[in-house]
Amino acid sequence: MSVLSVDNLRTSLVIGGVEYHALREISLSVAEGETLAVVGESGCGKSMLAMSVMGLLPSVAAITMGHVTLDAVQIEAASESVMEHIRGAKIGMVFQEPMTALNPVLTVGEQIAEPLRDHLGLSKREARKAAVALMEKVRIPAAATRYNSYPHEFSGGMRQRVVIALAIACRPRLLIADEPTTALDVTVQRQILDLLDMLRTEGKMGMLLITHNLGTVAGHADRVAVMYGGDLVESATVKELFRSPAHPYSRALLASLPRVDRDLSELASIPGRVPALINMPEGCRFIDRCPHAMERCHTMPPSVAVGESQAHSVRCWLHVQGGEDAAEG
Amino acid sequence: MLRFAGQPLLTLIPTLLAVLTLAFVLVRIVPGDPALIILGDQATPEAIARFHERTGLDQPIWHQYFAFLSQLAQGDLGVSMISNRPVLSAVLEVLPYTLELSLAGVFVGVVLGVPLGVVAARSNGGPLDWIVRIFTLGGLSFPAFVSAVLMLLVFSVWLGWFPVISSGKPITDPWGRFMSLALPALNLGLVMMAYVARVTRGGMMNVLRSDYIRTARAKGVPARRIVWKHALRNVLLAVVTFTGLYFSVLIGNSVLTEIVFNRPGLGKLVIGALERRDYTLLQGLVVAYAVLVVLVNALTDLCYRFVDPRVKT
Repeated sequence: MSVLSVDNLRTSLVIGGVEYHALREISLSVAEGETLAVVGESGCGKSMLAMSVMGLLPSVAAITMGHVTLDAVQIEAASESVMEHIRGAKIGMVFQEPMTALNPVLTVGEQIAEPLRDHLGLSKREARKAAVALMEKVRIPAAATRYNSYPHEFSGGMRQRVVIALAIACRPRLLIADEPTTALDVTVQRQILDLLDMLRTEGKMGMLLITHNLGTVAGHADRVAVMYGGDLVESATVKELFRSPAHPYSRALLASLPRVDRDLSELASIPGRVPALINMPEGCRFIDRCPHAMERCHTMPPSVAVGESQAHSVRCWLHVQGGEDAAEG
Repeated sequence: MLRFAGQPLLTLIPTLLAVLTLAFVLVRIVPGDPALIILGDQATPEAIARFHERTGLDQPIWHQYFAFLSQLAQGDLGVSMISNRPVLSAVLEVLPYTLELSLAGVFVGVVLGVPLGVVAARSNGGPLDWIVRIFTLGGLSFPAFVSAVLMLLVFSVWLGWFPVISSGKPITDPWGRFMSLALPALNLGLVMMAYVARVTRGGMMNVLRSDYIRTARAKGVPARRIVWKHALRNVLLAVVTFTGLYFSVLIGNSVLTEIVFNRPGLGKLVIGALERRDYTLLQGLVVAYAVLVVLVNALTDLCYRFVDPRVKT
C-alpha cells in the first residue's frame, strides 16, 4: 500500500499577475518502507514538490490541479489547522541546512519534545523522556545531558541528527528528506544516510529522498523519479534507470557521473541550464538542451510512455509510438 | 554569577572616569561666574574673592579637578554652591522619582511596542499593519512636550482622571503615587513604544523567513506559538539591544517630562542648577546621570546573556 500518492499534481506560481506552472502534472507514489529518490538539478522543482506535499508553499504558490493522498486521505485542499495536525505527526521533514534549521534560542531537547507534546499529547516529563530516547536512537552521545544544550553547541552532523530526531519523533508514515546531506562533510554524509535507512526500515516509513547526487540514489533508494523544469520526466527502479535510462535528460545526467571503469575524459556535461520559470518552452521543457529534439517537441508537452515493466515510465516523444527508432539514433 | 556580572562592571571604570572628566570640564566651560550670579552684580571684589575662596574656585583648575575626583572616590559629591546642602543627599532625595518615571516609561514602551510590532508583522501589508505603521509614525513625529501638554489637557483638566500636578507623593500613598506617575510615564513611553514596535516588526519579518521557522512549521507547531514563542524569542534579542540604547535617551527625555508635569526629579534639579550656575550641583547631577546610563548598559549586557544562549557565560 502506498503511503503517499501524488496524482497529476500541478503547482502554480503567480508572478506579476501571470500564472506559471512550477510543477506540471506530477504523478508518483511512495510505498510503505520504500525510498523514492527525486533527482534533478537546482530549479527543477524538487523542493517545490516537497513543499506542495507538506502544504508549506509560499503565499504566491498554490496547488491548482491534482491530488495529494497521504495514507488514503486527500490532503491537497486541507485547511491550515488540519495540516498542523498532519505535519510532524504523519509527515516528518528533514532539511538541507542543519546549521540554520534549528531555533538558536531553544534547547535541542525542547525542540524535539515539542511535537511529542503537540501530536501525542505527552506530559512534559514523558516528552522529555521520549526526546532523550530519540536522541539516543539517532546516536547523539550523552543524550540525557545534551538535552539542555543549544544548537550552537552541536556540530553540523549532530544538528542534522537532532533535525532527524524531531522529524521522526511521532513515528510519521512519510519522511521527506530534502537534500539531507548536501551541507555535510563527506564522512558524515554516509552516516546520516545509513541512519535514515535504519529508521525507515524500523519505522516502516515511506521516504521521499530529494537529492541531486546520483551516488546517493544508487546506494539508498529503491525507485527514482527524475525531474526537469517542473516535469517528472522519468520514473523507474534504481536498477533500471542506471541500466537503461530512457529520457535524454536522464541519460545526460548519468553520463555526467564519473565512473571508475571509464576514462575521465569521457565525462560529459549537459550544455545550457534549466530555463527560468517565466520563459519555459511551451512544449517539452528540456528542448533547448536535448540532442533529439523533434518538430512536435516544440509545440506539445510530451505525454507519458509506460515501459514494458509498468514501473518504468518516461515523459518523452521519443518513446511514444514510433519514436522508438529515433531514440536509438 | 560573579564572573557573569564582573566583567561588564570592570569595563565601567574607564568609561565613568571619562564621563566624570567631561562633566568637570563642561561645567567650567559654561560662561558666567557663579559668584556674580549668587552675590549679584553689585558685589564688591572682596566679596567675590571670599566666595571664590570658600568654594575653591580660586585654586588652579587641575587642583580643583583632583579635589573633585578624590572627593568623589569617597562618595562625596560636594556641597551646593548656592544652598550649602550636600549634593549627594539632594540627588538621592529626588532620584527615586526619576528612576521610577524612566522605568515606567521603558515598561510602557516595551509592553505596548512589542505586541504592536508583532501584530503588524503578522498582518504584513494588511490593514492592521497599516494602522500600526501610521500610529507609530505619528508617535515618532509628534514632539513629546506637545503630547504631554495635550495629555494633561485631555486627561487631567477635561476628564479629571489624573492629577494636573504630579507633585511627589510619598511611598505610603501608593495609589496617589501611581496616578501621578501614569500620565508622565505614558507620555515618556509613547515615543519609545513607536520605536520598539518598528524594531519588533522588522525583526519579526526577518525571523519569520528563517529556516528554523520553516522547521517549526514542518513539525506542526500551531501558527500562534510559532509567532509568540519560536519567532519572538529571537526578535527579543534586537528589542533588548534597542531598549538598552534607548534607555539612556529616555533618561535624558525624562527631564522635559518632569518639567511639563511638574514632577520632582533630577530634571528639575538640573534646570535649577543651570539657571543659578551651581557648579557643584551640576557636576553631581552629571555624575548621577552618567552612573545611571553606564549601569543601564551593564544591565543590558547582563540581559543579553539571559536572552541569547550563544553569548558566552
